[in-house]
Amino acid sequence: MSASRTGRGDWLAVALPAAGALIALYLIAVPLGMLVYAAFRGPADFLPMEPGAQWTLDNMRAIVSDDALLTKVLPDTLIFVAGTVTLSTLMALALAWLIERTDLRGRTFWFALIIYPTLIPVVVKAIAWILLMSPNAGWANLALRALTGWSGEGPINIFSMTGLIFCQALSTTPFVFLQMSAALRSMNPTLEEASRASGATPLKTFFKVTLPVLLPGLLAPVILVTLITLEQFELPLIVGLPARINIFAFRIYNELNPASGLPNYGGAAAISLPFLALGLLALLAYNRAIRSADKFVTITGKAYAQTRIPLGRWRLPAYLFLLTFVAFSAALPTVILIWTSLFGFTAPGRANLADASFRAYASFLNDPVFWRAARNSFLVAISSAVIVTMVGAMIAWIVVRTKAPGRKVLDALTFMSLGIPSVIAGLAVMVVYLSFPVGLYGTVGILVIAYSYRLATTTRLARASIMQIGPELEEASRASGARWLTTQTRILLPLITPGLLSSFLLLFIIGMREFTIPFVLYSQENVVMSVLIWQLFQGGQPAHSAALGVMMIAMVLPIILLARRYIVARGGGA
Amino acid sequence: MLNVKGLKCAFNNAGATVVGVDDVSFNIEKGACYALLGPSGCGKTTTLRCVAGLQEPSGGVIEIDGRVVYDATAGICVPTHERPIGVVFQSYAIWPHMTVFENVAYPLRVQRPRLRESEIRDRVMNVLSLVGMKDIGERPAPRLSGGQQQRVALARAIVRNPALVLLDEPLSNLDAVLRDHMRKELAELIARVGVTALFVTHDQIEAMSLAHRIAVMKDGRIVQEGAPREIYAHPRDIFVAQFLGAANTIDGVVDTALADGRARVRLNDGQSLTCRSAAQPGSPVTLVLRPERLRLSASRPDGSAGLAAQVRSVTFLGGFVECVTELGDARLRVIGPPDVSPEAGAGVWLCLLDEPIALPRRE
Repeated sequence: MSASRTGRGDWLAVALPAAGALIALYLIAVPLGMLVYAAFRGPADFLPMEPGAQWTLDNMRAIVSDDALLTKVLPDTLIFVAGTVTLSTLMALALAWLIERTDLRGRTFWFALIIYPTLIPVVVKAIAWILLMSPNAGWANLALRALTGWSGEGPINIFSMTGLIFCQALSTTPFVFLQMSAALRSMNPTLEEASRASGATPLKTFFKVTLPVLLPGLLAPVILVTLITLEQFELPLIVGLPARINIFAFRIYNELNPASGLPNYGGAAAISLPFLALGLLALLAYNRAIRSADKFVTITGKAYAQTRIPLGRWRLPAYLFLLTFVAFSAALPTVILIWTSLFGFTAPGRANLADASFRAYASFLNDPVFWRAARNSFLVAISSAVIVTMVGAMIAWIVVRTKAPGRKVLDALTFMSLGIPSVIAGLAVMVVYLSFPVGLYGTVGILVIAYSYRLATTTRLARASIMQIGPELEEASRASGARWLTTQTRILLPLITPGLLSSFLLLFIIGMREFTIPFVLYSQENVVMSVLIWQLFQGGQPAHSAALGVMMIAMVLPIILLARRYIVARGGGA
Repeated sequence: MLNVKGLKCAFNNAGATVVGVDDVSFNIEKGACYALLGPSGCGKTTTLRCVAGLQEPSGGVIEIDGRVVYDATAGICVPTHERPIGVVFQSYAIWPHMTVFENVAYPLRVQRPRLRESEIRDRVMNVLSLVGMKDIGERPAPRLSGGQQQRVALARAIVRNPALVLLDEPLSNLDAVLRDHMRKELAELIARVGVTALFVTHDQIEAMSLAHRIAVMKDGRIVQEGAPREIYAHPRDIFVAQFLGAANTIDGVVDTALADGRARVRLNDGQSLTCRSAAQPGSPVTLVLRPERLRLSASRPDGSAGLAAQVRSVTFLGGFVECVTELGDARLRVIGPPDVSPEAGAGVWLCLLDEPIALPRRE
């Protein structure tokens, strides 16, 4: 059923989707186009359309001849990404295996604990991990020194490549875990049973059937985590910078905020091009991986519960592993944040419990900056989530239901947004609104626009929900005499609402966690909570920083829990 | 060949213990094909999975080819991969990352000591040609139709000459036309290979056409076991009678007991007829009348027993006519040749081609 066949009077059937497509172009294609344009305009400290700017290859020459880029930034980035991806893949696979395929007890409980930290902004976690593992006064170090008699600093040093990779892997593992456990769950258990019934031992079954069948499904999350790691900014900034680790996202930021002199727009744009290409390449691989995973098995017919492998004498090591992971990723950071918000830098051994003070919390009540940041955080997260969900749903509809020309391009463009590192998105939006004097630069509005490039988050979810609904449901509505808009609002919209709500929720979480974009586009006026937390910590106010982190978790958690309950009740999966 | 004694299997479902299989015993002769027949949830698939070792029973003994593979009291439970079996799964479970050839070769490849590559090749090609799939051995497994998947699954199950082949609803994933075709092919194949087979189905036609013996299951127990004809003609209770083929039922009371297990039964509307029944006079019974053992007649039949009834509706179905008749408050379905076409509402006689069976009824 194509939009062109929906009858003469229904101009809305063309106008609404067309508007959606235009917004998508505006959100993604315009900034990206501007970025490429800026890379070839100079001199470097001029905006690309400023009077006096002209076509040049200087920016490109500069990055080719820049030794630091090749000998420091590129290797640091690659080591950081490779290390994080390897470590989080191994941890996530082990966790997913334990929870989905063994007779471990309390699986729901562990599952919730593993994914809970995804709600905490990475800045907050970064600060908590510094408090836990900084070489001089980190809690873990204090405890280890007391236990082993170690003298001096350490033994753990978070400010190192190893420390950075460890923290980043802790932070990304839950995302990989979620996807891997879904892959494990979707495997048809009779494939393994058929192998056992053919005379293969359990070990042989694992290597000859389980692993090859799961491989495409496991590959997709690995590529996705590569993409996520590539765009990480918070931990490299907070943990990596003191260790003189210089990854590309930070390098781009440096071009825009040099220690001396003017921002180098052309240089920043030129550096982002190869990394953008890297991101899109990974995205292409991801696309291929999910396609071949789809071609492979999903559960068919009536499936019996998968046989769970008895842990036996591995039970204790398994619990120890889970406990350690959850302690470092979720429990200790939360405890440390709450403690620090009450006691500041004073570690538990030296604190007098009576010294606990809610001063940090109380001080926010009369702090206009706090109120502005809180309002901005919610405003930006909610409005960008609304925009992306609406536009994304329209694009999904165009791609699935119409034969409109150019829908494949639209599909590819929105999918591309998944591969754009957020520091590059921030840079591109910055160049656009510095060039066009529409008064958006430095406002909350520019954040809403910049956040909203993540259209792929919705289109993927909305597409799946629309595809599950047979077109005959809409056709029946039209055959009953309903106009296009009536059909969409009365039939399609209610049916895909759970899917759209999940998408909204996910975008809201991403928006609340977002740090890179508001950091790059920071102004006094558009400060958000995640940036404020970092500023407070930098400014030597650990208790305030921690208190704000605790409040952020306390604000987001109940919203998510309530919304999830609602979505599950409506029959959707979030 | 297969000997199952007192098999029990209890599940733990949301805290409560559910008995899936309760004291099931049966015996399959070498080379025979045996069917477990019953509605979903009767425990037939659980029984099969226990025999395969894919599920651990909670009691009983299972013996395959003279070897005890499970014994609750002796604490024996041989793992699946050490049992001499082949399994055809309901979903076929064709491995998507292998070609057809590799799927079928797999049971041979995992054997120890290793087989020679040439031997594997010969044996795989042999079974593939047996199931008519010789030419598509190199095709990747995901690109197979339902019927082809079924053949590959079967080839894989018999390639290592297992003592016993287990088939879990082998035809239920196929569409109706293909199912008819594959049923005949499967019967032929099982006969040709001469393998001992245990299969599970909810389809009585499948069970009757494929199996030498059938066990009808209900609520985790075997209700009746025997050759297909025997069960069809002498169902032990109403459940078996109705599960095996269409059956009209009509209630009555035994009037007088006759010699050699027969009795005179009076129906609710006052007519009476002679049935096969061992029930005592005065006890309530239900008569089982197979539609194809009834004939319509305009006049009272002489020689055979007859019942007066009224025609309620007549439906022309091409090769035959289906006639629903009313007898008191009971309705009886009769199949007749297409040229017999009584008017709705007319009085009619039902001739019984043989004496119906009357089963005791609990009131």
